[in-house]
Amino acid sequence: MKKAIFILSALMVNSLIFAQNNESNIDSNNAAESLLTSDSKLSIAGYAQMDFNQPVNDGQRQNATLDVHRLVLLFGYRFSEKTSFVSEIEMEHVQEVYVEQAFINHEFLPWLNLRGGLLLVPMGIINEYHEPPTFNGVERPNLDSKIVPTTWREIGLGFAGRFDAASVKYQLYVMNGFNGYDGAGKFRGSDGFRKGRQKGAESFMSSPTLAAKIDYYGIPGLKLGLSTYNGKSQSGLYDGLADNDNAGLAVADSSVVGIAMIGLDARYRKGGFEARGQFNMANISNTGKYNDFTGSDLGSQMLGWYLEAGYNVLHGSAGGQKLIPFIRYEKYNTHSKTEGNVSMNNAYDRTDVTVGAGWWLSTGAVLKADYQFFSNAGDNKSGQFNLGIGIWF
Amino acid sequence: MIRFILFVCLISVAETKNVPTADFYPAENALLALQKTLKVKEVKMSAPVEIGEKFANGKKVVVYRFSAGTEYKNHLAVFTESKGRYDMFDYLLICNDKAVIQLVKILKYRSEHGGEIASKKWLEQFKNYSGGNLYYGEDISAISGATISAMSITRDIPKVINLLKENYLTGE
Repeated sequence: MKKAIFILSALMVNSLIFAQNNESNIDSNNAAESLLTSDSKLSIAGYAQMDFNQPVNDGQRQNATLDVHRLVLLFGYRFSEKTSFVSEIEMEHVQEVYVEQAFINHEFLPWLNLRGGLLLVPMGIINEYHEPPTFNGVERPNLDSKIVPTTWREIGLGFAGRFDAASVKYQLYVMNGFNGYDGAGKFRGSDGFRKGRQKGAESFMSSPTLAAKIDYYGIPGLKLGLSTYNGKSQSGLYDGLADNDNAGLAVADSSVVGIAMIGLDARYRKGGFEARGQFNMANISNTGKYNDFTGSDLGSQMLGWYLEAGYNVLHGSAGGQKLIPFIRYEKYNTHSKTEGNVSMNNAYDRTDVTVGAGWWLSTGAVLKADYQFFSNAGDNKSGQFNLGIGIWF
Repeated sequence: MIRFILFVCLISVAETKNVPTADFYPAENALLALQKTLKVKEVKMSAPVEIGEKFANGKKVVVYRFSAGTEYKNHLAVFTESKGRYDMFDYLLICNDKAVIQLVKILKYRSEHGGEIASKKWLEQFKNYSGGNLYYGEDISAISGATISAMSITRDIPKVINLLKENYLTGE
């Protein structure tokens, strides 16, 4: 413990010295960057999101919640020009500790890197880029919670790289899949696969899945992404089955679903204007048997999209601050199709409108405020007022 | 035993190859990078001039004067670096004898994220830049997922060009 305190204080003293050295320089780097001179092999960084949420429902009192939603610390180590390790330790709601990423990367060539460990599934925008100063709104888009279960990460191995001449980068990973059944069904109609994320925590695998993404950024200001995810969910029932136990195999087969998810995303920035959008569709096979077996109500198709636009009203002014009012329109349905005995639940056909603004005090620090209008095809309407602090260093 | 010694020797040779040399882009490496970038074998290069100590935050800058083919007469090859989110990245600026940028190429991008700035298309935006203010998101288009690196190179290139003009060209 004493040692840890000593190291921490040494780091703090170090960063203070660096900070002082940089004071006279207008373009000074932040504290973490200063720690990392060109010859440094260790990177320390982090991000955090603190939220105030006040639900608004007609005719009903509701308490607000205040939460240190996420505090994530990044530690990276560069072994050589070619080999590095990245880890992110996440504290969620103050008391839950997770590892968000932990992978090794080895570059053979810029277009061919081998990557392995606990990886973010490359699907849509937010799952990979979720540091609060990188997105508008206190909360992430709900599409990126109910259909793409961010922060979605599993242990995997694969390749990543970029082609500079074509302005293209790609990621291709073989990964562990969702836990769909381990004594009870994990998937459900309201938020699909969310409860099935294994997050690399003593995770188990009955069959691997494949995740891939291609990004194109050859048009100025625009970035386009195409992602796919394919494979079966995992089930504890396969474990220990005899090779010739056909009855047992049939039961186990009822406890998994096949997942084919695609994502399209776009981000655009020109001058003070910025816009982004995302579309996701997940086709899920075997949900009839799965729902009968587990008593769940998982849909056989989930579909959703959002569009968002904002404008930096401080655009062009000196000082580097940004003030961005924005609007986001989301439509997502986790029961866009169902099969077997499960009928479509209108409450899962949702439309959210988020209106608000973010005030960036600097690139890595933002204060956010917004109001969200929630409605669904079941004619249920509610709202939520959010305030948030987001940092990234 | 002999096999083992041979193996150790081989490993040591392989290891020493990976050790970076003390100087930033010495003539040998610089020549190789130039030949590769210009796709020309015949490159005549002067001795290097290091102007790194004049650069903000101690970033390294090495300049060579060179001629290659019919297109490049008495041009400047500037090897320098900027800071991405976590790591430095190296790049090459090719300027004519008036310090006007002809080409920018990322030689080494080390981080897992932000490599988008190595896009040829994106770097073409710096072509013909010869000094003055450069604003990220205005003169140079934004690039999602590589913001820190993109801002960093957009901030540093004008400084390098100024250095060239003030400290290098006037000395000629």
